[in-house]
Amino acid sequence: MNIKLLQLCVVVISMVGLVFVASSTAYQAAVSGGFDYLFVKQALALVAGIIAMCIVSKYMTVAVLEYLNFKFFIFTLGLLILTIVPGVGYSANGAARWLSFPGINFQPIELLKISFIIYISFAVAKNYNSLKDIVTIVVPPFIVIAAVLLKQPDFGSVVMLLVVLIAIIFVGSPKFKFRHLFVSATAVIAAAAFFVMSSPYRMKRVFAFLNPEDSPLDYGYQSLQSFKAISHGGLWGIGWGNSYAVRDFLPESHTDYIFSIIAEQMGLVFSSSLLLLLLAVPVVMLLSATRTASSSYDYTSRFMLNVVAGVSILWSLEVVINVGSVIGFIPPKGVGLPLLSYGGSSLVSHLVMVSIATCLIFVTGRGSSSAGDKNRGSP
Amino acid sequence: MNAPAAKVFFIISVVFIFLILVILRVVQLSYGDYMGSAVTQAYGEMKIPSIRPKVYDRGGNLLLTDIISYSIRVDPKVITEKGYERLCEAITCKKTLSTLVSTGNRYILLASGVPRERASKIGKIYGVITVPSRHRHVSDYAKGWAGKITTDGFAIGGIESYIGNRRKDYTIQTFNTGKRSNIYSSNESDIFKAIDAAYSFNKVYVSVDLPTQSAAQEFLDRRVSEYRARAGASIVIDAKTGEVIAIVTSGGGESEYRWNPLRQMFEPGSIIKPLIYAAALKYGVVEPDTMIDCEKGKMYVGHWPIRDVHPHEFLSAHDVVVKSSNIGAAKMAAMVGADRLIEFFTSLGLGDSIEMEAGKTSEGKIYFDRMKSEIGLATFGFGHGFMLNMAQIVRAYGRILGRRDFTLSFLEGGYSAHGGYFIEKRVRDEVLATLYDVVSRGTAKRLKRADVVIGGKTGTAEKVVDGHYSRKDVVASFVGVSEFNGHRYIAMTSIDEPRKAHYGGTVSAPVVKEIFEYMASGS
Repeated sequence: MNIKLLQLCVVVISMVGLVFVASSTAYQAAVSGGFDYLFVKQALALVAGIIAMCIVSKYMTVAVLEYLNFKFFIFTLGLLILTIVPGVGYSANGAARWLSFPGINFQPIELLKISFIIYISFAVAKNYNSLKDIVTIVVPPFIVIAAVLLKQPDFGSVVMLLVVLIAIIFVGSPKFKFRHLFVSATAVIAAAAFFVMSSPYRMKRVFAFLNPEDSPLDYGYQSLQSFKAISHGGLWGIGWGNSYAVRDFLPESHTDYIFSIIAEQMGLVFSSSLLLLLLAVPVVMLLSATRTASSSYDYTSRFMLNVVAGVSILWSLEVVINVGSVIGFIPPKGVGLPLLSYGGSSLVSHLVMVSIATCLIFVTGRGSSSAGDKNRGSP
Repeated sequence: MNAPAAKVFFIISVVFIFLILVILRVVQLSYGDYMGSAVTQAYGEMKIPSIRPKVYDRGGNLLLTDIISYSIRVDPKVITEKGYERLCEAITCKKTLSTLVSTGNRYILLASGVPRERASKIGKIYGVITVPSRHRHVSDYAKGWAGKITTDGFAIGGIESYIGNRRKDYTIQTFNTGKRSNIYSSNESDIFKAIDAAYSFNKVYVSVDLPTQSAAQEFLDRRVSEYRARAGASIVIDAKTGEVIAIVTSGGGESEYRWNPLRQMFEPGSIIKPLIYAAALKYGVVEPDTMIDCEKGKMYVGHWPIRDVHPHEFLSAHDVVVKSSNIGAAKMAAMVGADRLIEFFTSLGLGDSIEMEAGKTSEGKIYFDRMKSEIGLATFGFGHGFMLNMAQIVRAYGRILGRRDFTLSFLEGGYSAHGGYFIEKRVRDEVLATLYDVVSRGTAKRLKRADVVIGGKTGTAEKVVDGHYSRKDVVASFVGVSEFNGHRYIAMTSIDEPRKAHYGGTVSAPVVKEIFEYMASGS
């Protein structure tokens, strides 16, 4: 696989996302008579993400990752805990998910996703033959993370991290069979169902998801507006910058519902192609990682495969949850679309994640094909 | 395939299935029912209500306008005795505070139409509520034809009704936003154009001339009072354009009885004679110098006598009108014949209501069936068998002297003439000359010394009281014609039941004279 091509592809998708963030935020900027600072912030985040990608590509090795693994994980976990500390965390829309610094707000969960994947990947790679050891090592920190996230509250991230956790164990441990996967999946679904049913608010959202027309101005509003936007776009769209939905009809049009805006403006063909491209990224990474790991299933390869699986699953899961809620497959959930939705932390973390994954594939592949590899290199 | 690879392919398969499902769903949405509602909710309409225009007379004097006035309500449970005293110093209080308290009601309406300055002072009293409202102020000189505005803004009758029917609320297409209060148009100039359009109908100029109206009112009031008449009315029109220059009514004494020149019907009497003469000339049954035997002032038609006030032996057809001979007019009517008279009167519009901007006039009535009898046809010659309003009479004179579609208009500029002349020029000129002779040597000689040259025709119609024509109760009328300042005007005054004198030439003609003199001199 041409790693540079994949990374270029990711950057191009990010730029496409930037273009549609601009079209989504321009209306609000025009109405408020001000500067489209959201677009500028997203553009700056993209630049920061590309720089981060370059740094990762230049300096990342398995050894470096192993050295930083626990420290980075503890650091990000600490940041996450800070979000729920009164007076430190920054709340928006009823959730304390942000840390605020002068000129910038960011979500520690985006950093934690990276450190969590690396942490779990190392743990599974080291203990791949003992499911019990794996569980012993990974479950306690996950419980801490889940507790903090539920306190925020961010139920969606808990589910995603849990799925990522299971997926890494599934891919990384030969002891974790398909039957374990189905049992785990059933348990996750049951737990999620119980969790949803325990909250009237979540139940209303579920009912609204099933019949959005029953509450068109309430819980079903966002879903209906999203459907209308997609429907309005038709096959070829109504043209960039011509969206009706951004005119306050579709809330969060630049974040969670960016796919609706893209579909409205550019139509079915473009939005489907973009989605295909977006899902091609994890698929291509997974295929490359599998092919690379197949030649020698050593510690490094296992680690690489675990990281790539974690990144790919997380990526795919975000796409599934985001697009699924936008088109009415699942209840609305505040998860952005990777690289496309507005959000600097998310954009940078996704670029970094892809960079780590692709570099790992690269260095692992080079290490397995040449003697004396120091697991060091730049793709 | 090794185990990890199989697991990865499983994951990829799940992702692939999801992708397929998503694409199918997007296809479904793209061709679903939501598109229509997406467009519908994005577009809207914004109504820009037109303003209620101000109405000016032809000289630019404001006659009707909206003013902000206040209604005054009081809460008897809150206001103090002292406060109520202060309130009653400013407005008329019909009830005491204790009476208001005993009603148990709150926010009782005490007055309306209170000007802003007074309302602002009253509003400072604790327990008094002032409520602003748009109020139509109507000049006293326009009250007869202005119509009314209801409290909810609808126009009833008069020129208000005309305005109300023509006001347009302008609607522009807007791009809506999700926030309902936030509506905007993609093109601001659309909004400004609509506002301009809505405000373009902000002035209406009526044909009435306020100074003339005011003067006519004064002249009419004076005569009605002088002759202790029951009521009276005057109307002045431009004989070419049909513009109503003045229209006034006056009630005599303590009676509320008034004549509405547009609706009050009465037998016109001798002022119909010029129309009979015009018919006779038109149909060629007489020439101006055709001599008619006036039977020395008394003639029988069957058993019914017809008398002239001033007996004559022979009069030319011209002089029959000048001297106002009933016998001569009766003979001319008989010469024209019933069928031709019916056709003639019908084409003059007698008996048809006039559609004016200030409303429709009454229809009037011509008892054509009476023409079947010899006496009935004869009496048509001097104005029996008609029930007409003043507007119909002046329009008929206007048509005789002008175009066949001549009609009256309350708007500056008058009606739009489309048709040709009603009768040929020689008849028009002869009728006009006859009218001038009525003043120079006929029944309206007292107008000879007027400052302007006036023509016209007097009429003294006996009213039917208890089934008989009354000698005492008459309607004294005069229709005058005069030309000055480049215009020809027709004016008519009718005074109902004058007491000190009876004849139109004595009672009503001076009002027309004074009006014409005022109009000619401007003072």
